[in-house]
Amino acid sequence: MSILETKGLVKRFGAMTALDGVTLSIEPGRIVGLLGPNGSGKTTLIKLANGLLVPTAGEIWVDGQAPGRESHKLVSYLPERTSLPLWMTVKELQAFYQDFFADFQAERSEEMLDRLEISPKQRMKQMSKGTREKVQLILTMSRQAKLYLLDEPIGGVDPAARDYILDTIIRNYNPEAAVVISTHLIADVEKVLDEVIFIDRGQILFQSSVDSIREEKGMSVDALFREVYKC
Amino acid sequence: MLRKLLKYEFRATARVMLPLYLVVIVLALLTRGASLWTQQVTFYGLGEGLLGVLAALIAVGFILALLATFVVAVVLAVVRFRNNLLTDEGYVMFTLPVSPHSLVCSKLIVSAVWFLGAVVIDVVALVSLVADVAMFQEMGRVIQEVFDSLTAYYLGNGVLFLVEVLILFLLGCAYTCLSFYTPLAIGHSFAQHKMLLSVAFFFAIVVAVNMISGAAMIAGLPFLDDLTLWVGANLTPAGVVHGVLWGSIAYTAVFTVVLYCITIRMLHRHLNLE
Repeated sequence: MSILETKGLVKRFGAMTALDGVTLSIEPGRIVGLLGPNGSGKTTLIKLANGLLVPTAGEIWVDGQAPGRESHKLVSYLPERTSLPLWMTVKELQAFYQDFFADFQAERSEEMLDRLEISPKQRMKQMSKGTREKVQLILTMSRQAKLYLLDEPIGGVDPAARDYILDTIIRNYNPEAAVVISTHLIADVEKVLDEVIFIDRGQILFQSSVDSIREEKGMSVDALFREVYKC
Repeated sequence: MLRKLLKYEFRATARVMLPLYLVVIVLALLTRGASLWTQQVTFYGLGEGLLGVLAALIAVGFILALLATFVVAVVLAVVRFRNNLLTDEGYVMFTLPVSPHSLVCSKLIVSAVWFLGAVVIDVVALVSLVADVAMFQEMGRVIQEVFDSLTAYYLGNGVLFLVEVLILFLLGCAYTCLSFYTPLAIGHSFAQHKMLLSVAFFFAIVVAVNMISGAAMIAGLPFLDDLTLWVGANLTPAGVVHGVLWGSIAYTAVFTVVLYCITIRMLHRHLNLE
């Protein structure tokens, strides 16, 4: 069964259509790039999968159920914005995640914090923006979720941190889980992707495996992206 | 899950409220000390100029701190709702495996506890200004007498009277919070000018509540004489007090439930985080 599935999904904000009849399916065990330029509908799709928005029309299922309280147990979400409470220490945040998510693995988060030399006693408000993003990613990836939805995980960090983030995603890869990475920084994420979904103006242009793009079109995903979205 | 939400909500708000309560108690003790000190100094004829000014300043600070316990409790309730649910933190809170009901209820319960705490701390602080052993003995006797007479007068309904007042107080707390939560939830469902629209909806809701209350009163006027006659014939004075309290509870409950439902609906169906 698909871990994430949509059928004729539509989301409108007033007169503006953010998603226009999106139908897609993501299977477990895949790392999928949700690729498109700014304003193409990537974040809207991820928000819908998290139940942060309600569809105008169409349907969306996470592991066969509508997004909500039950699906939140299965989805580990990294929002585009740093959203952890600034008054809390890293240790308190670990306890917070452990309290609410049964699949949170404290040892895994401690290991990653240690590797990045982030003190668990440090408060979020004392950290730089980049460090906050790393803490949020560590907490997200420390869950044993069935679906990881990562919205622009490398958008605001330096190249060295990008490598670490992608490395973290691969190292924590679970064959029974799917990882969806939304980004427009294709070259950086291409090496970790199994599959890509190209989205533009709220519509899916195509969904394909990275291998078949390379074999059939004879070009990298980055090159194809540049060709498809040429201004 | 509500229990866990309450735990974190208390932690987030206690950082502000507990130090404030402590300030109130310290200022109460300082006011008491300053009062005794100035009396003594004046008695020995050493002048009261500078000490008098200092004592007055402490007393003013104490009064402001008493008011602050309520003002800060309201402001904190509003700020926590907005920051924790309607700005960036909302991305975390609304993707927890909890319902919007639990999120809103945790905030209402914690706010009510701080309001209640403010009442208790302010009373304790005021009592500590004039307290001595004899006063506590006298106070114990008076409280017992009041309770006995309440129980006797209301034929065993003294406890019920206190329960009614407590329910009305808690409902009032919930209504106060929701009168801010609802416009914030509506205003933040728009893409732009979220705070401006929240303020506009706040006043719109105040006007709507007043209009509905006014209309209900006008509609009830023709029945006022009949009601007065019925009350005079059927209710004891105790019954009238209970009736007024239950009427107030029902009136507050209706508006509280309506605002609660609107807030939940907005958070569930029209959440629009930036």
